[in-house]
Amino acid sequence: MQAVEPGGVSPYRFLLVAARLGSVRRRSQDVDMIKAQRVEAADSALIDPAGSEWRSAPSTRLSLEPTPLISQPSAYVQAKWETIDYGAIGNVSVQALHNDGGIFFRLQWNDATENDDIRDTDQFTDAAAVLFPVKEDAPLTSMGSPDEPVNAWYWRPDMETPFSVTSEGTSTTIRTIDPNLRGNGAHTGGAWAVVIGRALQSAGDGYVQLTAGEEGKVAFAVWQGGNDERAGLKAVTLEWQPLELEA
Amino acid sequence: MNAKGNAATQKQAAMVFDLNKCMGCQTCSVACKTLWTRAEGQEYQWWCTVNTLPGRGHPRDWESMGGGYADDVPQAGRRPARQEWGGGWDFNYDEVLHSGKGQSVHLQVVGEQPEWGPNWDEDQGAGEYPNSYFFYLPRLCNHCTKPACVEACPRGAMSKREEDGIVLRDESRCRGYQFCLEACPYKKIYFNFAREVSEHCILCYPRLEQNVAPSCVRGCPGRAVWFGLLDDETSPVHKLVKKWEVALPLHPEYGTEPNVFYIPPILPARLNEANDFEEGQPRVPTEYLESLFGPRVRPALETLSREMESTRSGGKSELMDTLIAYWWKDMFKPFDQDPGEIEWSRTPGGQPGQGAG
Repeated sequence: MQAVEPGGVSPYRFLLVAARLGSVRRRSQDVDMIKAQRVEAADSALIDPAGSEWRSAPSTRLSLEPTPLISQPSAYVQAKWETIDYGAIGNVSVQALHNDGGIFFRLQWNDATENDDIRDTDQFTDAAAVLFPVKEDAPLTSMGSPDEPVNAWYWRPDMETPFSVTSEGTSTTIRTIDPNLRGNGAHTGGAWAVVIGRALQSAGDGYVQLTAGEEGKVAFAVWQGGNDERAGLKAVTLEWQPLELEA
Repeated sequence: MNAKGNAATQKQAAMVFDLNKCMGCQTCSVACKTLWTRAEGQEYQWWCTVNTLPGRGHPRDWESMGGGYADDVPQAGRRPARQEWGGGWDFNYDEVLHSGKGQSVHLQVVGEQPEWGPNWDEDQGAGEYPNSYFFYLPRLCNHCTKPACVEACPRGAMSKREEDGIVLRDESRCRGYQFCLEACPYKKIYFNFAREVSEHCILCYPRLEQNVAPSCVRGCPGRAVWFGLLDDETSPVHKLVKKWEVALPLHPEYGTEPNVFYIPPILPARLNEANDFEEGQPRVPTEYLESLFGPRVRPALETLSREMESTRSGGKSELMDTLIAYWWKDMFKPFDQDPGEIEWSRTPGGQPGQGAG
């Protein structure tokens, strides 16, 4: 279940069934408007997860679910993770701000283990992503389709900048470097605080374009590296969340 | 291309190692290392290794790490950690060679001390003197007919080449997720730290395309390895695997149908208390060989013994002639082109040294 923190609203609410092979779980999934308030602040202030602008920004706590096992694209992954829990991060608190030039998402989640680098052959890092439909009705669970692609901003603690990831369906993701995309994360007190930001408009094949005063959709994913999570083994919002950019 | 790789390709490249002839010299290991895994991130990688059996192998205890198939269902596997691989160590060369301490300091690994390596339990073997025994087992990617790695990859980055069944990885699609490594029951896939992709033996495909045998094959000074296409009836590989059925896959129960085969070792018979050979009492327990090569070991050993006996009594044996390998190049025809006669082209960022060997 999800809680709405001060400043957040919950205009939509409906039930989703998260079915996993082996066990069928039923949970309600809330859909919340993510409002990106317009602020007068420099990019350098907004990219800092400890920056003062974030103290007063509305925060929405979203519950996350494991990606459905049935959508994992190999029999090996489906067989092994039938009995192993993944999608370990249960919720993420999301804030969004824009300064008319760029939009910034601040993601915060509890994570007792800081997996910030690959130091051994059996390790993976924590990671987070913000996902947008490039066409309005793009399917979320399959990461888009050939006609309706999606665009993700994928952050990892060991990488200088996030990747812009374009996808036209399961297993089709392509990573590109978008010079307009930035990320910054800090792990303190058993929690990650990560800001991922980009210019509202950024030229690139398959990149999402955003405009102040308009509405769109957004989704989130978090990987728990300490739980071997990578690729489709992750915790996600199972539905698109409506996104509104203040005019 | 054969996307999920779960069916036989038109042709299949294969290798046969004769464990009676392998002398553990590691020339194959080094031929591969110098050709393919000298770059940053590959320090600990040995796509071809020779280990002493019985032994724990490389990575340590790899046979207990899972993967492969049971009744066509993929089995969970795990990824070895660096200490289980070993190798790729830094040594105190500067201190020993350039600091004037050459008489007081010995060469040793710097930093975390190794607990295992690519050839850690060499020549230990098993059994009690005078019936102690060991033999060598060269291992590389098996380029399986049912490669668990190919199926496991969620990116579709891996495939089996239709023309020769070589299992390859499209590095532009690989993300280093290592599901392939988990699924491989032979643990012959390596993670490259520097480039964050997985890597494994490519069966020297750029050489094969020029009719040059893989470097491990050409490098073997013991005439212990054959190479060819499995269905080429003129190839010794076909004769040993298909016709005489004396070359067997390692751990067939893993369900991936390997295409590297082994002639099982026949050591002298056990010595009894009177110090006489006890014929019919093999020094390497047949049960142990069965645990490695499956139930076809017994008929294979019987065939080998029968043909050896036949030649001892003056008869002719195609099998023995093949195993003796009178003519070196016949061991890998038609891939017998001399690599030194080829002008190799290098692609930017490609590996050096393809001309050698």
